[in-house]
Amino acid sequence: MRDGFRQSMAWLHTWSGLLVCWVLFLVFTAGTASYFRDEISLWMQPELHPAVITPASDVIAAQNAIRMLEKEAAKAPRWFITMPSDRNPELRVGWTSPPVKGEKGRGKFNSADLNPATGERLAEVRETRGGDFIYRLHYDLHYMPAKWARWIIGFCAMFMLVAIISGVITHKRIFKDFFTFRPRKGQRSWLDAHNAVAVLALPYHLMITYSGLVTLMFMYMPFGAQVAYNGDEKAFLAESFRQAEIKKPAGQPAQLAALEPMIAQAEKHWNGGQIGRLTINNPGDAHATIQITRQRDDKQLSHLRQSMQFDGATGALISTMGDEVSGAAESRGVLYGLHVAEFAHPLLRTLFFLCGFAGCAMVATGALLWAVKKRQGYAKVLAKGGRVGFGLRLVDGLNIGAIAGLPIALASYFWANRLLEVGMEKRTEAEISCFFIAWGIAAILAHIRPNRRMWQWQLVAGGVLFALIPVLNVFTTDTHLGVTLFQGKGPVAVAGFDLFVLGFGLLLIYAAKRLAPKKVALKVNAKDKAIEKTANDGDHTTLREAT
Amino acid sequence: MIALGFISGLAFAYAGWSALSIGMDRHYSDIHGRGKEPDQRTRNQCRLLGTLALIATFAVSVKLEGWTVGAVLCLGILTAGALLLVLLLTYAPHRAIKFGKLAGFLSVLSCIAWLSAR
Repeated sequence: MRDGFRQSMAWLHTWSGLLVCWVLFLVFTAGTASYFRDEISLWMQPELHPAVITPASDVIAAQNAIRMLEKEAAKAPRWFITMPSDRNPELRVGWTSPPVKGEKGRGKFNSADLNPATGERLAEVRETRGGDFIYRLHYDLHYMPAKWARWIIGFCAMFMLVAIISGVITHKRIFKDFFTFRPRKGQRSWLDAHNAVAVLALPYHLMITYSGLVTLMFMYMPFGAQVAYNGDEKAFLAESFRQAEIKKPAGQPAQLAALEPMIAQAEKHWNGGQIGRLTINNPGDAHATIQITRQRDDKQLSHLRQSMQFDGATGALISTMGDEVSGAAESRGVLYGLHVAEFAHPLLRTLFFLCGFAGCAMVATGALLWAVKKRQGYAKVLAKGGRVGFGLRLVDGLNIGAIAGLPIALASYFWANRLLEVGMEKRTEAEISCFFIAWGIAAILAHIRPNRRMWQWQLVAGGVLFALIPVLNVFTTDTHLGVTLFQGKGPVAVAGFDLFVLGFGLLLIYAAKRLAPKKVALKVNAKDKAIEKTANDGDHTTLREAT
Repeated sequence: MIALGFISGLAFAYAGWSALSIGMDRHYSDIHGRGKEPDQRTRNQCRLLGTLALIATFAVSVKLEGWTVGAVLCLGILTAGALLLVLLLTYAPHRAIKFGKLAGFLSVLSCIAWLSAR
């Protein structure tokens, strides 16, 4: 506490924010996009766009799913059936292949989308991970074990929480500057922008950071449970989440009992609540179990769902779970639910998206603010034609690579989805490689020339890639904007995606345009020429709309 | 029908933030010219109107979605309304009063329409 409480908090805010801001920018961007994960997945599977889905009752849909799985995945140790909902009208089935001997880990996971009324596959869809890749990226990263990634993300999220709280303390004029944004004033403008997006969406920022930590709390803070249960983690999880017990297969074949009475019993038990998911363990075996999980309820924040477990061979009820939830479990369930926002209908989901966008802007403006401040210290050196120090150069490079580079990577992922041959080998991996190759190139170029030109180039590249996606669609799919918007056919989500990427691309291009050096500085005067030189060298003080 | 209630909530939030900002020294002088300060009466009126409109936002959200999801919706709407206002105060401060009044009328009208259509 060298200079008083507020100053020391300012120091803490600066460094806890700067150290992790590039990872946070990735997490915020990917996490924000994940609110529309299902819509992105749909967009990335154009084969599904013309699919005609005939709704059917839950019983018929579930029976159709079972029939399909018995035919195609009879040997699978586990089946999953996700019932149609408002957001996903199709019936989704999944199964794990039996693990291959000699290979580590579990078997591969397969899934298919079915027409609920007929049980037939909707279409042969291209291989892609769709929005799930972006969703996983925001906490599992890529190219590394999930466990390491989650520790890294948790570390960064904790820094984020520190930065938010210290930021609120260090913000002197939180109410006086509540609505203030003064453009074209260099550092002042960056600070205003940072404050506005941070303060106005503060409830969201606090919630998303804290609840993000809570989703993985048993990994970060296992100690209480370890002591209470003498290190028996399984016993703790079983008791806390009342997970259904899974028996080993008996080895004797047995027919699955009829689903209809089980579904009726579940719906009655939940006072008319709909069924949402079925998990069938050891299908076709005498020890088969069927777990029925309730459909999510739009009025409920909590992520916890009630479920019931039945004996697969006899159809008898084994247990019910989640009917009475403890206060602690419910608290965690609500925080978890708030983080993933599954309860949100489209309008509320858009608000979540907007707040997430504000979060990205907050991280980006914070990162830029550090560089802008630091650059002012070099004003005299730069005016003499000198160069900035290593630290600033590094931060500039990282800023460009992260803030302007990530849109390029995302757009490349979408381009790859459309351009890679549909039947090619390892198509899914190839799409993801495109994402990282594009990002890698952007990041390397950013470090070679971390200047204003590079900002412009990368923003324009990202903007053009994004804005041209709707054009690309005209050549590669039958559900481009001409059809979805002007003829009103095809899924609304696809039209929404196209319109958003078009708008976002134009925004990036506009940001690049705003970065152009001012014409005023071109006056024929020796002194002004020097100023212009510093400006061209990457004077970020007028760099305003980069986010 | 949800959309109408949503518009009403957003308009209430925008109008409320507008009223609060118009009574603040900085924005008052942005709107009325440099050096002008609001008198105590204007200040109190703005604060009262703003607070009432923000409470109305909460009421509309809760009516729309219930106490749990409604509270979340209210915070989201408040953020969206405030971000819109920041843009307006920055690029067209002299229109702030006009737009605030418009939003006020719109919020009440759409609220009545929504409640009677339910």
